[in-house]
Amino acid sequence: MRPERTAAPPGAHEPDAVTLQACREGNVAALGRVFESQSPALERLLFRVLGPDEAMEDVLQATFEAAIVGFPRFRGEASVKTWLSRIAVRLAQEHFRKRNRRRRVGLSLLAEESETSDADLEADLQHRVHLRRVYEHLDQIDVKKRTALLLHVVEGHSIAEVAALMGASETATKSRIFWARRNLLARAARDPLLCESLELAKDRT
Amino acid sequence: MKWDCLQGGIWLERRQSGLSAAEGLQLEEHLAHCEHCRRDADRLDALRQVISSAEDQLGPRVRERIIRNALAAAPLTALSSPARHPGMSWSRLGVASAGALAAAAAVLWLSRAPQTHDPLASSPVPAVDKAPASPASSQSTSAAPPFELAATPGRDWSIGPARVRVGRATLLRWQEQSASLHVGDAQAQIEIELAPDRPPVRVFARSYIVEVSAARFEIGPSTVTVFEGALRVLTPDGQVVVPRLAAGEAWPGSAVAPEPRSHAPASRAEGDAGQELRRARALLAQRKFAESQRAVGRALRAGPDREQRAEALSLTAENALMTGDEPRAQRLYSQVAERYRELDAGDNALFAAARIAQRRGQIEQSRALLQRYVIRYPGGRFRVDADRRLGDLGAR
Repeated sequence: MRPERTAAPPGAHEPDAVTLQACREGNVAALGRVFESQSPALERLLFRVLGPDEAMEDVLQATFEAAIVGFPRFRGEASVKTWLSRIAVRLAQEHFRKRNRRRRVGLSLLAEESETSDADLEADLQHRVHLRRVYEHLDQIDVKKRTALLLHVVEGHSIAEVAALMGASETATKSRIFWARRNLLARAARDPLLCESLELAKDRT
Repeated sequence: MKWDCLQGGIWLERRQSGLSAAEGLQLEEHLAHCEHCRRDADRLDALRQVISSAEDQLGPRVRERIIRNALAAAPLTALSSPARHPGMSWSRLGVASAGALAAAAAVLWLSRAPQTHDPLASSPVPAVDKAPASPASSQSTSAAPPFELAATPGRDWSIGPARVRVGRATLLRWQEQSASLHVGDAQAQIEIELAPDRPPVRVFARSYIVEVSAARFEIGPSTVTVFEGALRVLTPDGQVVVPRLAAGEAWPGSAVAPEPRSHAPASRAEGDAGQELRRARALLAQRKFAESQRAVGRALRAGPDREQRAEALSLTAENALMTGDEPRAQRLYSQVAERYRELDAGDNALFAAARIAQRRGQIEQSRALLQRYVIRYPGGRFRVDADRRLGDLGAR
């Protein structure tokens, strides 16, 4: 049921003390190396939390910008990956609070490009429709609850890790995940498109 | 709900990795008997699979661009580049260079003017001369001498990464090491293209500095106007005055800058689509690519007219180009060029497609596109550039 925890991609190891010190001093090359190695994990995290057609790139860039400013205060008590993830989660939640939800742009642009798209377009479009539908339901759930659910159920973080990333207690995190799951499943069960596509219809009988 | 069902629900999310052996066994036993929880487990698994199957990684070029932008956008006080002169901060470099070079440029230009007065005699390739022995400039520059170019009006000049058109005879100076271009008090139109491996360029005017990764703008002694892309404005001592000056904006003042087109489209009634497109352009200039794309989508849904549809597709192409997806950008520009050939957007797009093809090494295709451009738009905005590129490619 739960996702397999994939091994860290090559180069995603923690920076050594010298590199960390250089980052604290604002060394551009060191910062670039650290960001390069940590970026894949952050991308996956943000893709999961924000969903498709979102300002993922903008939030990732904002994460790096915040890290540049915050590095002098980074004491190394947590790993750089955890620290950056915490910043990314916080900025993703801020992004949710600020923005006006609109997610249909991807489909509009696909229609505009359809003349030259290849045969995979239909399958890709279908997948995007389903994915968008799931995230539309997630949009209706409180930001903290949905974030906790996605981090735990999809990203595979433990309760303790999610609690640390979100700056919440484990009890609160468990509660958020529980209620988000109930809410999402209830919405999915009422959605004919999702029921059909996920072959859930038979379960409703 | 029964207590064991509630407990089962709580445990569902932790089914494989978050439960102790005893808890796991208890849950599995519960699921074997409780159809309700088993169905929830299956649904949750199905939803997770939909989310997990989505693409979750950026391309290496996009990643590199994001990191580069983040480093470029960081406050200057947060960074210390090893490439800088020891003990010389960017701000001090700016003060020293701007003042000294403005004076040096004026003096040097007077002494060189007779040699480059005839535009036909001057080469479009920048002349490389040794830097004048100014105490300030020798302190602020490193071992490599700067490029200097006596630019005359009426043609485009290439210096460093920039294409420059000046309003009057001007001495331009390019310092490779610090990626700085000095224009003194000239009035000049400058175009700088995005280059993945290059730091942001600093253009030193008489009383301020602009920092730019990719943009087309006009710079004067006390004003800067952005036509495409975005830049930031700094004081000579390195303090940020305007963090983002985007396309259509000017500094000082917030007047909207007109596009410098010889055959600009007639003004049209501005509906929602027009507003969204302007928003998309501004967001693109701020490098908020996803948000820009969403604004384009809103414009397309707002019933755009033909010109607006052309602009929407052009913005999508520009977005793809700026995020490093050159094949997609080329394909989209080609679509604009063919669908909207009678509009300005078609003119721009055809030349852009040719330029991308050339950059990607598709020489034959680039040549064909440029020839098509010359035939289709004999008085086009990029005609001179197209001729030059065709000459470079060895075909007219």
